[in-house]
Amino acid sequence: MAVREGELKSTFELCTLVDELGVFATGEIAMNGTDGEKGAVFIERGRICWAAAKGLARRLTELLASPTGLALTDMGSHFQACKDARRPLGEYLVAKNVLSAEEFRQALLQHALESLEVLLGRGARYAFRAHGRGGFDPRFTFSSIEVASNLGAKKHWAAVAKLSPILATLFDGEGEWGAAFVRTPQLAFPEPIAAFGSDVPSTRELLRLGKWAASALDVTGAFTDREAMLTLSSPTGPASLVAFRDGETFVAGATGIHGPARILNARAKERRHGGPRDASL
Amino acid sequence: MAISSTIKEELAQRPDVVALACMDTRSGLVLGMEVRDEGERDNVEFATVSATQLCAAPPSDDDVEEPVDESFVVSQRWVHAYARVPSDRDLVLLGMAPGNANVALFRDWLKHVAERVGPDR
Repeated sequence: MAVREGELKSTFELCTLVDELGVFATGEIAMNGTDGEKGAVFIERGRICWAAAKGLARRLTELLASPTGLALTDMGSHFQACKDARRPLGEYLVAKNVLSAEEFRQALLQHALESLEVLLGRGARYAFRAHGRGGFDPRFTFSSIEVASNLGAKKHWAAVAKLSPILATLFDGEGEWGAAFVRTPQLAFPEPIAAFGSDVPSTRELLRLGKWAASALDVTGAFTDREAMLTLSSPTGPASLVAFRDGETFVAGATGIHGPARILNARAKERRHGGPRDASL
Repeated sequence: MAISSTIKEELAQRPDVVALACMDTRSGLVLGMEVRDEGERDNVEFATVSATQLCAAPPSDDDVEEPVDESFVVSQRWVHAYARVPSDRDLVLLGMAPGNANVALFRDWLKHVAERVGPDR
């Protein structure tokens, strides 16, 4: 029975839907376009497990073959073996050490992103049907934020490579999180390209904070240096919200009470060692 | 105590502080501003009128901005700190100091000034 229906134009809308369905949601989001069935997205316990789009049937095999250097014909024999063993292909390949768990995970994520590109768009309708079937290995499922930020990361990989260690250094405490964003003319909101930390909020919340940070940093840029860091004491607890620019990207996140001092200290140390800019930690 | 005289008095006692100002976030009026370096007056004024946005939590889904007690903007050159006046939370004090200031001590001092401002404005 369809419990929920509507239009899904973008991956961000899909991720928001998954968040709204809740952490216990398990089922299938069937996608339809103007020309009929397009495919489906499977979720289990609020995480995205698998996205299948018409026309991309062989794509996962290609993605799995790529890191291993295996010919597609060799993949065929593995495919038959795992079919006989009644195991999913990727999990079979990991168990047989043909590829690492991380390589499999990256291939699955890439496959999901490419499938979503086909499934979602103007006029794409969805119907979510909850069901009790599951069985996906949790190691190979993805949070909505992971999917949303990796969508941007694929386009802005150089910025992500630079910012990921910064995020990992600055937001490594319990309950802390940080996300990097870029602004593009194609989207009405800053696009998340990386997220790090133990308590990253929902997609909707992350996009809301990204909008706030972009706007607030525009304001601070009018009276102080572009790389300045803005810190707000949280009205609801001991945490602080921080935001700062790094080149064409910006970072927003939540830290513990000593987080802002730790960031400022890291910046000061960097300057002492001849770092080029505040944000290049 | 009157806002203008309070911030003038407090600024006179802190030669390391560049400016002090007070903004009424409800009316949008700047109620007082003292600047030690006239070359920074425009920046101080802009920072002061930005208090409405910068001393408030990110808007919720229904676009409501919750005031926060304090916030600060730190760069290599400047520290701008905001503190709400406890006795009248529509009022926000802005303090500006050089970038090498001790941020924690500067914020503490600004909160002390905010406690002096308010009731008799």
